[in-house]
Amino acid sequence: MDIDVQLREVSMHYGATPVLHDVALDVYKGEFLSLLGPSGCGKTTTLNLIAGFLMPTRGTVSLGGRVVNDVPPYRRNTGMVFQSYALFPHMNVFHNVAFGLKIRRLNSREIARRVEQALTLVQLEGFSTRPIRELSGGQQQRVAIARALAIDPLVLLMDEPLSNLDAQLRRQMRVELRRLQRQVGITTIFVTHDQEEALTLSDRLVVMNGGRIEQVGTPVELYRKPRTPFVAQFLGHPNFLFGEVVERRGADTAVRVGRQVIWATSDDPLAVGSPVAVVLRAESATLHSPPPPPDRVNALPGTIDYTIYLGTTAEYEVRFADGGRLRVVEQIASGIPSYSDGDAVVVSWSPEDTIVLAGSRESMAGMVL
Amino acid sequence: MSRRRRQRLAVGGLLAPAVILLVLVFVLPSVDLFRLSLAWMDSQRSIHPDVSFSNYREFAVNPYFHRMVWGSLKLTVWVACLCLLLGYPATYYMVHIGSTTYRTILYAIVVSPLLISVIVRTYGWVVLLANNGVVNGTLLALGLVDRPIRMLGTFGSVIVATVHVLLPFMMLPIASALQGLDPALERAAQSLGATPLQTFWRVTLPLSMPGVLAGTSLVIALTLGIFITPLLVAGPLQPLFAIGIYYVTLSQLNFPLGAALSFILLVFTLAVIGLVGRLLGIINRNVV
Amino acid sequence: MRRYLRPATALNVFSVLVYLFLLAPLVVVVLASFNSADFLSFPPSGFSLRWYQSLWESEVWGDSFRLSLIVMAVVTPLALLIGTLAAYALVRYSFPGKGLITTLIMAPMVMPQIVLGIALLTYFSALGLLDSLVGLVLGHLVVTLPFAVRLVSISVHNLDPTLERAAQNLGATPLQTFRLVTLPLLRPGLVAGAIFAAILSFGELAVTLLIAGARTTTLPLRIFNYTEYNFDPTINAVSTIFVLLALVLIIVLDRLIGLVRMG
Repeated sequence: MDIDVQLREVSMHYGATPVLHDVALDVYKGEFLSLLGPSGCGKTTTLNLIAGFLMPTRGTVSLGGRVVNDVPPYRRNTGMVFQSYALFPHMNVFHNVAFGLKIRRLNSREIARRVEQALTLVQLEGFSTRPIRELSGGQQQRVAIARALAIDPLVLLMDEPLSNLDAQLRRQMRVELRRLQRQVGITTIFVTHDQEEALTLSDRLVVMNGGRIEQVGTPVELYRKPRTPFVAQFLGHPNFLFGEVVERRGADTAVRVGRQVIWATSDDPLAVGSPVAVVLRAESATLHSPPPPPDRVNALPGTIDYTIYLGTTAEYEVRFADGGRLRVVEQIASGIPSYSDGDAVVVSWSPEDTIVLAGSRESMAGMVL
Repeated sequence: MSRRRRQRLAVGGLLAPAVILLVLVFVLPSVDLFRLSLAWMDSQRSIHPDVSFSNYREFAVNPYFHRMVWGSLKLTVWVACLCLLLGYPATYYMVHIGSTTYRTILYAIVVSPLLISVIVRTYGWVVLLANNGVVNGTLLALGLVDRPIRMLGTFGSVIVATVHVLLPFMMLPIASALQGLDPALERAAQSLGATPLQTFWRVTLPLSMPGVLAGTSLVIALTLGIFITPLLVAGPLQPLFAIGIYYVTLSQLNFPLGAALSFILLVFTLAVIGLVGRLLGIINRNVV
Repeated sequence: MRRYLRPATALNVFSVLVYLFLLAPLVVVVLASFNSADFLSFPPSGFSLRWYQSLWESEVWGDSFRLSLIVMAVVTPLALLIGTLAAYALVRYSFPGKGLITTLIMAPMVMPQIVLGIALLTYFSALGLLDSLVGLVLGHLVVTLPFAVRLVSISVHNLDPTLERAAQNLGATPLQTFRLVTLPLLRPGLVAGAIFAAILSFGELAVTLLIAGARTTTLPLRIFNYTEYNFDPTINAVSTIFVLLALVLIIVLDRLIGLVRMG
């Protein structure tokens, strides 16, 4: 596949502060790639490096096969949508969208045609003459997208474009954005801190933390097979248990957590005795009324501490005899939670749904568990 | 050419005209002034450029200059206090006025002196305070006095005119400070039981201190160097530093001495500004 | 707005008195300019426009007026140009020596005017620039530049740098960005800077007093001479023009950026 954007050994310092460490990335033609991570992880810096507003301290940035480290931003032909939209307040919609075309000296008929085309794409036909201040947040955002697309750039760069919209609009725009990208087929790099957004929109995800890339892969890959504890906890807020490997039978791994033994399936070569973090997603566990079902390998009896009702799902916090806790999410078709506070339950889940990663509680200090 | 170098060149180009202008027409003259202050003038009015501190010594011993310094200090204290006493309440009033139109008008009154030449403002005081001027005319007409009161030519008239000229410089920084206050703070104090007076004393005033200090420092610095207004309102014999400089340089044509006095004034003014700036820093750290 | 904190009546009265105090000399001069008597008299004898007529017909006042206008017309665009470039560089970029250069540019504002005047007096005297148009322009430039820089800086500061980045991203070179995006959006600051530079130059006296001469008697200088040496009620008319000018400019400034926001 064609690689449109490539980063190799890119490091970046702001004065003495390191911001990016040895980042390598390939972005394929036509794909929707998200850079995901907490604030300060370097995702916006990476975007700015690709756009040309920053120069890497080390390493190369390539666009369309050509190294562009020394190429200024106005010659890179990347289209950027800024978080604040950055629409020119002294121009109306038409002139904003036409700006890049005018700079490229297209004739007025061509400009008019392409502006019209861009506005139609974002479903803002007829908005040409509106002044910017009369537009709603959602409309402004669409103008920003139209403006970036109008110049027919090599790659579309989006810096948290949906952050300033209210929740309802965000969800709508997500669908819009995906549809748009598929229709135009343009390579897109999307920066966000919202994992739900990234999972919904992307062909591939890049999870970043502290200036480094933690993992690259499809949403399903990252969600089901996180390779580091950070990635595991960033996507989905799963349960974390800590213990050590006590037995291995091929892929089957037994981990002792407290006084319990939990079975997991893992391809990683984890040695017996090594400290591990066990990741259990809240929706992977099932609740039963006691006694525990005989065919289940992992089954722990406990009590429901409290229930959070969310309409189609119910979230339970289950407390165990040894003081441990687990979050379990139940899909409820009938709209009524199956269990309530104080109920005695058995939590069970299958080894295939259990993720085991090298790590200990100390090594994960600072992460939200 | 690398991008970093290109950017450096751009910045240099943008700053060059300003820097060149200021070096040629500000820095060089200032350096020259200092050198001149080290020269000395003999009784035949010729200037000897060999380095000597005689001018500075003259300043230290001559009681005429001491009177000038003393006069300037007195004026500064009067003017600073009056500007503060008059300016703070008036600014508070303006900032808290409800009607935007009225507030804009008040702001206009405060800002307008900056846009009107100092000569016009000072001249207005001449008209007001002259023996046959407006104030005396009113007093006579109302029968409050038999003869016109002499106001021009007195130290009092210098104080009044100077306060008038410098009041905006006190009011604008205070206005800026008061406007920057979060209104929720005053509301919070009141909700906790503080009366309006207590709120002012314990919350508003301390938080507006940076503005007060900025304004006071500005007024002090400007009073030390003021000369046109006192000159017109009270004549060249007023014991004021800047007038002394003016007199020594333009009447006696003793440029080296004038240069030395100018430098002393400059250093003194900078010291005052620096001191107040430091005070500001301390207050900011303790209050904010 | 802050109605619950309505200031006490004593404060109101006191403050109003202060504002009247601020207005007093100006009001008096404006009224006196319409006084028909030719000596400083109060109460005024009658209404007359003779002083305006005398001003209109006077050759010396006309000369001074023209001179002040010419100096202003030269100084303003120069101060604005130099000041805008410097303001942009100072706000947008960081570089070694930035603090020093900022201090240098603001220094003329901090220096006592008499000291600056004397320094220029001796300096220009050696260069033969005393009593010259060039000398006046240079002197006024030094005085007005800090104000131009400060006022334009406020606008540059308020200009979202992302807009300039967006323009560059769309293909505009730095020069094109400046022309098409930055300058139009800086307009309020530019106009404010221009107005201040113009009015400061027009009314400048402290430095002018020391470097001008018989051939370069600006309007403020002539008023000064007349006030000090011989009296002429035409001064009232001239002064009123200054007041009117300030009034007009204040309205313009308020329309542009709102006086209250200037602080």
